[in-house]
Amino acid sequence: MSNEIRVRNFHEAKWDEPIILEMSTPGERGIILQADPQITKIVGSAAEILPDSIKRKNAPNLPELAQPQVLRHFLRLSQETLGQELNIDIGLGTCTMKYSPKINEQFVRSEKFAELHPEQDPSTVQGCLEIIYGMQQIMKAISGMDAFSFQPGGGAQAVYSNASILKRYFKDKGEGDTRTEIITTILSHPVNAASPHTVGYKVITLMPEPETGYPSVESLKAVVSEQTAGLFITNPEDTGIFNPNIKEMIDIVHEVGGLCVADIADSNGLYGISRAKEAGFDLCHFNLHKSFSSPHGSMGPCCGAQGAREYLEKYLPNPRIEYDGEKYFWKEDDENSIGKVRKYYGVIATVLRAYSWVLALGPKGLKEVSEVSILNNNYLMKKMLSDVKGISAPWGKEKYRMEQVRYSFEQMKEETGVGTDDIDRRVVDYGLQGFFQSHHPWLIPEPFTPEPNETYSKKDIDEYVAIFQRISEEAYSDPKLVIDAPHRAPISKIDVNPYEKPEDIIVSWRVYKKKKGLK
Amino acid sequence: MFRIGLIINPAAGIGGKLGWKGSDHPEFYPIKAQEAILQKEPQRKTEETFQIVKEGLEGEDFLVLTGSGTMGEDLCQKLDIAYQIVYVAPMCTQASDTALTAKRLVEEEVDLIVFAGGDGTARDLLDEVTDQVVVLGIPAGVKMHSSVFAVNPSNAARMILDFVHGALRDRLAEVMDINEDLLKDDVLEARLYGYLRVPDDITCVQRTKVGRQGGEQEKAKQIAQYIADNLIDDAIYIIAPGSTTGEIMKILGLDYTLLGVDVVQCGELLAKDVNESDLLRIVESVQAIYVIITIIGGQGFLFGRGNQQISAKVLGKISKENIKIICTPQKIVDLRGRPIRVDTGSKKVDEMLRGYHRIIVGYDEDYVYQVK
Repeated sequence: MSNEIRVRNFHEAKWDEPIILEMSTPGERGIILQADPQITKIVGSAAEILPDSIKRKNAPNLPELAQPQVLRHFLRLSQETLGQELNIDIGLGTCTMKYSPKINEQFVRSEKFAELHPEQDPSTVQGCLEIIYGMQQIMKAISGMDAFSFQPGGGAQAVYSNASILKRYFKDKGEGDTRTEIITTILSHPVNAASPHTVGYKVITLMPEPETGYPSVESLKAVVSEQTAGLFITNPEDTGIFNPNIKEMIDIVHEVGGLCVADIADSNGLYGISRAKEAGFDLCHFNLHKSFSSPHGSMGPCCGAQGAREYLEKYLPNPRIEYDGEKYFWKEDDENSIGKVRKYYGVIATVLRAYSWVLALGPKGLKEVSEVSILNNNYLMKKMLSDVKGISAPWGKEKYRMEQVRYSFEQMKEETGVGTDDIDRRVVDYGLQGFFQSHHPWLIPEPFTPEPNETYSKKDIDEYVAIFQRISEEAYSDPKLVIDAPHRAPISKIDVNPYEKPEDIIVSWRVYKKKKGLK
Repeated sequence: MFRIGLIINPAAGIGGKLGWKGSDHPEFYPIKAQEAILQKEPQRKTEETFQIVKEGLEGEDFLVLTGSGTMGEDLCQKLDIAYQIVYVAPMCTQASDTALTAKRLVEEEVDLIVFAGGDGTARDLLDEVTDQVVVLGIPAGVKMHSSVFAVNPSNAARMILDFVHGALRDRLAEVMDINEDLLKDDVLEARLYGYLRVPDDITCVQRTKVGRQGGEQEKAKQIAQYIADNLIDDAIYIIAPGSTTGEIMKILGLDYTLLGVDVVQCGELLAKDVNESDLLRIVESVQAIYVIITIIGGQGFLFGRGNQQISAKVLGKISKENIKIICTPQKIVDLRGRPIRVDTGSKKVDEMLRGYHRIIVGYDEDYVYQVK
């Protein structure tokens, strides 16, 4: 077997598959459901049980297909996707696209778990509650925080929930009307500005210094005041550069009475290395659907694990799980709590996967996750900068990075006209699903933010770099080839301008019908 | 068919070579005339641009409309580009030739005017073109303080191609000019002359994102609304020049000068297009006084360029906290980490202005940025 790195001449599948609603044939059935006569005998028919007010007047317009057609349809669609498990998914930095162990999926899909109902009596779900409680203990150990809630359904909601705690905390202190500002940094994840703004805070954003890539302590000093409610910050920021002044910055905010909130959504470079508590943070959140291996699930089954120090524990969302030495139970009546931010207890399947993942690794294994992630990232950076003409890693020159790097194709754009958008389309021809460029605004021109976490092998990284090396060679020899990409995908280069007009955007079948004038 | 107007100022950049700080002063004309014939820079830079444009538009129908000889005809012939002469220029061109060619191009309703020159050339175009046609400068002059220039010839080519292909919108950009010779003697002669529409060279995804928010123009409206909603009764507001500050006046429904300084109190226009002495009278008679200022030009100047009415003397009477800087986020990003600059002519006032400032970039949104 050859160990040579191969740049794959990939070609995407194209089935020209209609949407399933257009494939319907009246009367065709995949499964014929029949009521169990024994049950009907006891409870009566569904039509009799349901009150008239909730009965449909007309049958729903569902597609009517037999099983083989349904299977064929979805298998074809599956061939037209490029998921985390098909391509080397290093490109989606800040998202930590790592391998999700399949055994954890078996746990989640087991009927012992999948068939539980959140309204079951706690005495019948003690095992499940033990897992949630156990995961809270784990998160406390990882972060140093004193309490956790798994209720927020994602990172942005966890930040929102933390901002809501700040509101409540200062209201209780009688400073609700004066603490009106939060401070964040431009390279922190944008929810650190957006979520507090949604809660009603004015947002003050620190910019990086051109030499270091992170904000100066002086810029923070210039804006903190008795109006400061808190600092919402990511460290390391999206550049992968660790801000060594974080403790000093936190002390400055504490001195004026503000609270400090860590966005540790991407904790992949921090396990066993740095904790929120020791840095001085009062609140934090982790994304269990990123760094803790649970899949992202297309913006669906996520968990923003929200952590608080003891003095803020009472504000965490309700209900919270407790253990009295004999049994686990939900405590719902804390009047200090900001209340519910999501129905029931959050996405417990994500908690279960994360719990299993952490237990399988143990403390040493968890630290190794971060060490390998950092090693992988610095190997990738060195190789990118040496092998790919026209790429650079602005700021922090000659310094090691944590779990990711924000690169720039500015030089390539200047010299060849090929920019990050063109490369993003061209990588599709080599079997990648595209990459994450940057949050906005683009402080780094022509950006690119890969994150080679611990689940990628050296060979994966070498292949990944080889693709960019190939594209760079193409850019310098035949730029039009890259600019007109993709060439081996069912959809060629498309005009992005229509996306700018909200009136032209169709987000659902219903909107499509409305805009097309269909019934 | 896409119709591109082309104006090469053959004399652009001569001043630099000859140690002048510009090439458009009348006393230089005789020397310029001789030198311009020999000079190759504007031609070379325009050739670099149009070589790429020609390749990029291969197989597409486009026509270049231009002036005779060195104003564009020679280059089109050299590159074998289809062209039409709209203005016959003399052997030694002057500012008026740029203006007359621009006038003809506007009459011809071209889709884009590309010019090679500096700030002086941009000014020559300004009065004729105004906001009627989108303009792009190939940098070939001595001074380029205006925001209408591409970074370099190849960058200009790509912007032209993107614009031709409908991938770029346009935005307003400042036309400025500074007399650096006089500046050395502490005489400040800098002006914001007006605005031209230029292709919006924000990269593709950036545009998409900005598009969702309605673009920089929308952001300017947000800023203006924030200012308008937070005006303090009885306080006097000095509204500095610029399109961003102009949005405030639009929201307040007040008449205003785009290039001048206006004064507002209690939502009413107190004075329009005031000079330094007007402002001095005002600041000496009133306690609560604010300046609403925006960053001017690609160089990132806050005071000392295009808003000299708000002089060091005026600023000396106003506290630092009462100077409200407003700016769209993209303008801050475009500074690429370079500090915002002040040059009021007074070291004391410059010193007072230095340090980190809050820049209002949206509704209840500030960036913290350094002024030096």
